[in-house]
Amino acid sequence: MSYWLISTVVLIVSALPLALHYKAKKLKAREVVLIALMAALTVVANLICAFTIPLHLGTSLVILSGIGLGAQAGLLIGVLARFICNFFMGQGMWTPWQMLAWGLLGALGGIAFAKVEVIGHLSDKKKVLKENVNTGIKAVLFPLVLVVFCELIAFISYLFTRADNESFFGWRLYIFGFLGIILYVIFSRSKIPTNIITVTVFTFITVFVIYGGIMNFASMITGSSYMGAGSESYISFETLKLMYITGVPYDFLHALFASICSFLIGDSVIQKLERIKIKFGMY
Amino acid sequence: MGKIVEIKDFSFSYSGSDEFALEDINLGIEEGSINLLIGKSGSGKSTLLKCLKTGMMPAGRNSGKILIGSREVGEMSQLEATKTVGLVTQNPDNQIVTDTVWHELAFGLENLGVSNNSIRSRVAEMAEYFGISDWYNKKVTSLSGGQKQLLNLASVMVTTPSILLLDEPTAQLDPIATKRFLGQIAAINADLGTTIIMIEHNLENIYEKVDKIVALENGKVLATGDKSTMISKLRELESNLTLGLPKAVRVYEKLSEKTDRITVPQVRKWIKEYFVDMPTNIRKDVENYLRGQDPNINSDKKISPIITIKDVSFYYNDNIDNKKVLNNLNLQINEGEITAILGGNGAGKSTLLKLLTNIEKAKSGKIKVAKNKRIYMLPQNPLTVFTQISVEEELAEIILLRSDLYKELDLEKKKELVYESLKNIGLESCAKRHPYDLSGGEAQKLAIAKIMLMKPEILLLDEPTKGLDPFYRQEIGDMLKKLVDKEGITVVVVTHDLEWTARYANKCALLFDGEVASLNNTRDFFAGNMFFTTGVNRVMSDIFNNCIVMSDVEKIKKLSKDW
Amino acid sequence: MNQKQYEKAHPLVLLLYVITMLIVTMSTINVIVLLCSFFTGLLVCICLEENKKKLVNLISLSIPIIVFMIGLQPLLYHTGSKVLFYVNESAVYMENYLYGAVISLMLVSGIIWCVILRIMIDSEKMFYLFGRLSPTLGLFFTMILRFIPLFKNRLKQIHEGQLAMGIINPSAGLLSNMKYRLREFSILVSWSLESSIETANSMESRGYGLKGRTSYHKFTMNKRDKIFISIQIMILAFLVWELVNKKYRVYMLPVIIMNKWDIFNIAALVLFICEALLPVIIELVFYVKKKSMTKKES
Repeated sequence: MSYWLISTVVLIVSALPLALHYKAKKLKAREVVLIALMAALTVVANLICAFTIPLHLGTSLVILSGIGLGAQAGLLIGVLARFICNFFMGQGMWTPWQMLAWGLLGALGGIAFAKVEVIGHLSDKKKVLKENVNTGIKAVLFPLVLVVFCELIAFISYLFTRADNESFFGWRLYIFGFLGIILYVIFSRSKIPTNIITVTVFTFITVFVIYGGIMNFASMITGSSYMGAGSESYISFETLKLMYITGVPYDFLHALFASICSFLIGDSVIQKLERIKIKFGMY
Repeated sequence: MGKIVEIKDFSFSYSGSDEFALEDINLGIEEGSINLLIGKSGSGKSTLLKCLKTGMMPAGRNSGKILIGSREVGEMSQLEATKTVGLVTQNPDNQIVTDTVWHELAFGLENLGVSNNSIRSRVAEMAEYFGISDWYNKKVTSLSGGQKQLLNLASVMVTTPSILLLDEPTAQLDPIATKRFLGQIAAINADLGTTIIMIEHNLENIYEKVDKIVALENGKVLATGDKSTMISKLRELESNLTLGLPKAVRVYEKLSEKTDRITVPQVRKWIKEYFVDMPTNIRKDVENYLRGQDPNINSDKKISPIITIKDVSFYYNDNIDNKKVLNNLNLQINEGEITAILGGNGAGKSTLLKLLTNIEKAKSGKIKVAKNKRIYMLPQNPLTVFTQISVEEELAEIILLRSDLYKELDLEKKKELVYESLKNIGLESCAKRHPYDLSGGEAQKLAIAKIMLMKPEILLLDEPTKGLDPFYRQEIGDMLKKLVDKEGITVVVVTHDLEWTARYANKCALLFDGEVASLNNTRDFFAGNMFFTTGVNRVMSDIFNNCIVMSDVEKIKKLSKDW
Repeated sequence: MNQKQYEKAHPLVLLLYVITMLIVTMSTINVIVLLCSFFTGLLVCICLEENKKKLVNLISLSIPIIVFMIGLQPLLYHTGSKVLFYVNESAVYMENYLYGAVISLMLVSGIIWCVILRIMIDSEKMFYLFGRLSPTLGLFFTMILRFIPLFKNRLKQIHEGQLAMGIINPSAGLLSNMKYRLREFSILVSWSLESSIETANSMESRGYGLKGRTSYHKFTMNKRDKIFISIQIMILAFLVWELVNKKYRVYMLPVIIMNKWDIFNIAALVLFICEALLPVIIELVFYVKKKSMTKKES
């Protein structure tokens, strides 16, 4: 029967614990304000990007607020922002999937990164930047190598198992990319130091693998409702493969533009969040 | 009447600072009275107000006691505090939490756990009392600033606190909204007996209702008194806090050295009687003398127009009925002068500035700006121009950004330049501070310094004195005057602040219905107006039409001694 | 604008109504059911939508969908019983086009009901419904909705301020334009974060964080709403039962086979049409009443 109906129900059910959790846990006024504020900023960012500049500031901002405010807040910000965003950009069957994807990005940002160091105004900016670049590259090297290594395995497996005329730029990118992330999580238990380089690379990889991975899957599910209509043949590994292949260019650009945003404003947004947390006395 | 608030030997210092923000405060507030806190910025007014509300006290150390009713503030539960003390602060936008008016009104009651039906009746009652039932169903975004602040007041009053704290509630409002708001405050006090403790600069509309005034200086109580004795007490202490008192009170005190009259009609009547014997020719001489004092009128400085606006019309495209915001407007602005553009809300003042800075294009007509003049505008809210994390970096940013203006300078010279301009505005001590931590007046000064580094030849300012106390207004005015005199720049100011205009502007233009209704030298402009004029002129105009600012009153006093 | 009757109903009634319609429409490819859904939906839409221009937009949007879906089907499926013509030696069957037509009918009806959903349940009602699920979520929604227009307005102020200060150049290329926009956004972030302190204080000073917070709403459920809800639930249950038992099942590829209709099928369809037209019927009844009232008066 209609898969989208089922999947929507599943997603709503999976969002329920979240709602109940936040019902049970009392949030302080300042936490509520900060979450609502970052979600609103994300929506506004997404709207201006949709109409004026070809960037993906919203996606980047979800990750940044996850880093600044923690995993739980990041999850909530992503979910809420996407839900409300779609009131302006068009609500549809894809909404729950996008909510899930953004929520995951926010949560991951919160989980992955270590506590931010506040840059005082006294510090020499150039020196700070240089240090950041140095430590950033060092920190990024290992996960990057892991991901690239996994993609390499993907390529090798592609060489051996490919079907006729199949492009490499398909599902393997996502699956093995995801594998790379998992491997990194397993190997390195410590959190990633937060700076401009790590945040940028993190944005690129997670947006491509996780957001892209989820949305390509979702587009098959949502598409099935009118493309196959009842005949089960549409939901298949073949269609999924096709979806992943057609999704690569969009996901690549999405990830690229989001990471450009992270690179340009990431530092300042995180620093601003830190400053406000200090002002609020949230430490 | 009992004391509802008692402050005993209260001292407070912010965390990370050794200095006392408040020191040995002893104060009693009568139940059902209206109390006014005056003082310069940094004197601890706001801190004191915050300390009166449980949970609002800033981080820091304190000693002494503050009792509300018979309970100590620190020991009150949040429930008690919500029910007894309400707080309305300066910025209307920041205090609103929800998206609709009805929800905002209900917010406080929701928190108290009131049932749906009781909320409905209470909210209805409040909406009726505050006259907001017409916009009850609206989104808060569609409200004007005055309406928003009224909504904030109503949504605090909905939990019927017995004490209402107001921290410069009208600072962001225009004069008409201010009048309405302060009227509402007086009505709340009269109808409900709510005790009111407020910090306020626009005193003309509330002063006669005030029961007690507390003057603070450097964290200490300088003087307390009622509305009529306050001015003489301050005079004795040689404090310049009198600057903030209503003009009628000051004029009367200046001329009579008594303090028993405080309202405009009282003082007006007295002045009529006081000068009744003055011969007409002497009166004429005084008037002429006042006019003669003005350098604008009799100067032989060559006046050359720098901006000429001819038959300009403008309407916004999204406007449905194409109502013209500007309608065949003609205006000429002279080089090296401060021109003030006055007018009510929606008269087209801000739109005119947008046209001058090319943000919008005129639909018809011509705007001619003298060739190759740099023309910049400072936005109304200084927060919109700050991007860096410290004051000095704000200034350095411009120097780096406009490398075309600072070509030959090396790094040391640039640094010197930053410090020089910091010194000019008296903010050297704040060089390392975050711009957002500055007070309103300091932020405005920094914004002006920032734009001055861009070396404008024509500077446009949109309400530069909005939300500032009288001292900062004066400082901003002096600063601009100095810039005009020293560097010969031309300044155009859009403002609601008539007192400030009378003191600092050379020319005034009144915009009405998209046209320039009148344009004149400042003194002639105010002398000719009946309603749209300064507080001093309002009480003096029966006898001396040309008397518009306090310094004129002083001159008259001197002259009348001889007579 | 005169108030429509549906606005008086409780949001839950409206939600149930639209969901019933959507479930039935999206889970069958029975032509008769879909046609009923399509025409009733169109009728309700015409009745409710004040802005006729939007209706025209809706129709002009549907036509390409229909054409696209009909044209697409033969490319996806190569089965059927009646061959129409051959393209490159592969057959194009009539069933393909019929199937495409039915699918597009389903899609367009679905879109129409979504439009009705948007008309009936505006954001306020939507957030009320979600707020019932969790008061905290409800609070988040209302706050975010308050912040969005505020931030847009601030962004406009910042943009104009930067233009007027001559810091950004309006005629710069795309790349520097992007940089300016990000810079403006960065200002917005600090400004908004700064103002959030005051917002949090305002919330706390009005008692946020006390135990037992209630959530106020303007909607009350009266007797009429309760009757409507119980009737709707019964109809929905009946329809779902019919659908689950595959009473409306139709096979279209490769050959068209329809289940035989029994009395239950017909009853369910009549109920479906009745419920679908409920807003129109109520509107008409009210209209007639009003007419007779004004007649009496005159």
